[in-house]
Amino acid sequence: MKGLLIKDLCILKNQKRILPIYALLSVWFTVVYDDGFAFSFLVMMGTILTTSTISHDEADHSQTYLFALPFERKTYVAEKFLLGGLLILASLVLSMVCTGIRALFFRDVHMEGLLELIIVSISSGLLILAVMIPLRIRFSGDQGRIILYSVFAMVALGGAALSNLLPGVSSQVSESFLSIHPVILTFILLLVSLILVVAGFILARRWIMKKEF
Amino acid sequence: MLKLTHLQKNYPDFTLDCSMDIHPGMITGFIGPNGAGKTTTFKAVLGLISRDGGEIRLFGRQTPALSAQDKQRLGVALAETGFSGELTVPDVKKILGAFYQHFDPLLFQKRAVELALPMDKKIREFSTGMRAKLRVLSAICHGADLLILDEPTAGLDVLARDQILDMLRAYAEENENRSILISSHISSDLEQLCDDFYMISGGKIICHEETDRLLSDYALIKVSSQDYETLDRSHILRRQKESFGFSLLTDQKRFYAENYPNLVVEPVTMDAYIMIMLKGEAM
Repeated sequence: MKGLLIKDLCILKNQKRILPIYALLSVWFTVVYDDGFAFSFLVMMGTILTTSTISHDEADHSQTYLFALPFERKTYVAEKFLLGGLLILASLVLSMVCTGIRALFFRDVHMEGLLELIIVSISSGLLILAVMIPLRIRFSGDQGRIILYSVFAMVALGGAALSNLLPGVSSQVSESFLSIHPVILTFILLLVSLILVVAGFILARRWIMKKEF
Repeated sequence: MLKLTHLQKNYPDFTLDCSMDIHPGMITGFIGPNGAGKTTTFKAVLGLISRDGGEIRLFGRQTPALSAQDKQRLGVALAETGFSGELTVPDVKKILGAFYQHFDPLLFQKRAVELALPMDKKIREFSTGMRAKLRVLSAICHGADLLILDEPTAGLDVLARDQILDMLRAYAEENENRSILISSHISSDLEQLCDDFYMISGGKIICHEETDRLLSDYALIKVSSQDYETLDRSHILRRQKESFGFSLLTDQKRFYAENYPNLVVEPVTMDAYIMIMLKGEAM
């Protein structure tokens, strides 16, 4: 696990073109937007960076050598989820620092709803990890990317179709959601995300065990 | 050290059925044409692909699947694969240090300098030769009992190949129980390095011989069609039709040299041996 984590951190450290752009954008979003957009942005970047390490592992058949190193296949999956969790955490810390700096200079930071925002950001990041990690492990290279975009498109189109076909039901669902206290709602979202992370972990582990290099 | 008994892997157009025995303290060559099954054998041993039958015994134990602990005792360099191109040599040192309990960072550093590996470049900027050197270096710095090396000298110039072969020899001499299983298309490397070798063709092992015996007892006899008819062929292993008559492979060089002084009886090289084993007809 330690070796895999160090490898991924070294790969990320060497992304000298991308990381400064992320840093600049996060500072920019924190300064310009006051609605916590930087939180969501950084968490998304964390999840994208996590799955990008799988792409780096696949490039130039590196995975063949990697899986000859002393670790169990299931450890690979656990490490990717751990890395994703760490990057989400790092994103939140960075967002907090940026928000703190903004508070020092502009003194117009609105703290209400901050907890909900953080939990929603974490939940979204976990949801993305739960979907992306198994899919990137199951489908390699371009095939993986196509499947991933297709899943997101299907979810979006399915949701839109459902609300058009069943307007009564969808408004009832919306009303039921809105009647729940926002804090409780965000914790429900977090719980659902965690359950999906466990499901994604089990699925990814099953797929990695069958993979041939 | 490593024993394969009818290790099988089936693909729609290829079937591997490989048996071999790598003894402690031996450097064993694995030769054969492209697509013969060398890399498939290595991958099956390392658990990178599933196997469809047969048995693998590693370090004296039957291994349904290699554990992380088993892999600690292996050093691996596989052709056309290695660490991510986004990493540098110092990164690789850190990573190997985290993976292997007995990794020696000082030895790695020393060898990296000897091999003139750039410290500040990413691996993707390395030449083919530099990548090959790094692959071997990554396999030999944690005191592995068995090295599995697939084409470790491919893409290297003569000097670099010599450096790598010296390193492998030194590695084997450091501990008399260490073994190396090595495949290479450069037969002179195997002649210099290996104690014995297996030859694979079409997924099956077609011969196993000690290198010293090949070089001392085997010979190529070149005969005309008329001489061929009168020759005692009881020690001829393979024959190949030539424009002048036949090339014949024997493992009894002295017998033919003494009894047929007028025939051309040449010592056999690994290349000539491979050629006649693959293209010749069994006797």
